Amino acid sequence: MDAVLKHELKRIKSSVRSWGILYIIVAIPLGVPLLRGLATKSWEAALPLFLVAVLGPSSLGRYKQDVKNGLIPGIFALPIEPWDIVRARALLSLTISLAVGALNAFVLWYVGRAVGNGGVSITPAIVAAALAGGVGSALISPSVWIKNVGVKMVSAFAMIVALIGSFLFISPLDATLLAWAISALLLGAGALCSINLKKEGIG
Amino acid sequence: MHAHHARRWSWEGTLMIEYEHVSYTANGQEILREVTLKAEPGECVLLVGPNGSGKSTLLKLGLGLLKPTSGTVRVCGGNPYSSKETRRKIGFIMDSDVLDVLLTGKENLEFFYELYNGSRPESGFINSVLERVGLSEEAGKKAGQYSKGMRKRLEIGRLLLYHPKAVLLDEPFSGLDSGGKELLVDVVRELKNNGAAVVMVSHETEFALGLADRVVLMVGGRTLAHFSPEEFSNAYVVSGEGTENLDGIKLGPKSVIIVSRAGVDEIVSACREKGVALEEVMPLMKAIRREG
Repeated sequence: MDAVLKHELKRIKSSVRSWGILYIIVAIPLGVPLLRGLATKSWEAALPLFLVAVLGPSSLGRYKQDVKNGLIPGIFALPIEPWDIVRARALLSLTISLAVGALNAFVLWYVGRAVGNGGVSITPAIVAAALAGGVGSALISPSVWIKNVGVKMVSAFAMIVALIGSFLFISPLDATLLAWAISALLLGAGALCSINLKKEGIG
Repeated sequence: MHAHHARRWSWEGTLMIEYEHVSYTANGQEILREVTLKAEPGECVLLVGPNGSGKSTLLKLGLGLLKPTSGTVRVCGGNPYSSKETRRKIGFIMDSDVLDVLLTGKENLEFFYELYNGSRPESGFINSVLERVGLSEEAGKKAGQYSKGMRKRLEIGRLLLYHPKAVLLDEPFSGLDSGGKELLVDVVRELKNNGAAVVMVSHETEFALGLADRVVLMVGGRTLAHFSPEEFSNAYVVSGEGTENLDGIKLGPKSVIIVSRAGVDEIVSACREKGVALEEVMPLMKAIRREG
């Protein structure tokens, strides 16, 4: 396995072990659609949106921590390119998001059945939602590495939209499309800035 | 002692660290101006100068953290800014630690080993490095829980994981206890003996001069003079009206640098002879410390 990917995995393990706060960060966006679903009995719509929101805040927190500890930008004196880290984080974010998405789809289906919402099932819409959420999270994650304040603002805005959207959007298709749109926007900004990371006056 | 443009150095063999007419500007401010500096295999160059003279920026350029505005920086024949293969040949300690505080000391070294060597370390190797830098008992603790001195020791450990051909050190002694400083001296000497070129910035001249083969004085983003360590130890800043009559390197409108093995008395006599209205004589080392 790639050394940077292994390193990122160890960081996640270490974070999960020591940062109770991480659970809270994940629990809030998980809880929002659950509450919404309980209120409206429309489970699927929230999935892609809250998944977009899941990893953004945790990555942002980690980025800030890394800057504070001097790991950024010093890490780029090592034989590492920004792209190596972006790629590793994106891959891990995607994997985690998909796993969380699949788990969540199952929980929603189970809870929906328990509360008597017979219409809820693991449909293609839910699978699409989980996929969209996974990709969206993966794309947000590298974008928060960026020093550029504008990109951070866009990330923060996207997360807010995602949370509010959890309550507002009904159609799974709309929600999926929105998640993809946010992801595409952040991908563009993130890719552009990560390429220019060294030119932005690091160090 | 050699004024910057007074002597052309003749270099033999491969140049490991090479700055050629390097300038660097940030936010409209010129931090380095036309700096040319070279280090050969096995040579240690000590950079000295007041705060803000551009020493650390020069090292960051060598590490590929910054891109020169003009001129070229080559380390082991490659461009450190654009090539991670070039950076793989560089060892470094920066003023701020480059460690992952979320990982243990041992995990940090394992990560660094794989990055530099492209393979996993042999069983026991990391433990032997940890033992050498005096961190065996703390190997399982997160680097974030380490003291400043322990983190610096871990960074010394990173230098022992591979065979750097160029080494850039920015205030490497800061935060280390006397044992740590001796350890660092041993490690750098070992790297030099193995053919690494070293460029170092340090205010701890007591230790740094023991390693240096050459001392370069930087002032205002330029290299002002080259000294042997012995010359540097005997260099004085002489201030007063008429100092331009003295045979030295001009430092300011009323000050020059003079090397005198005989000490202050000889300088005072020379000033008297040349009609200098002497105001102050101070060892260069002390003058640099005073400037910060």
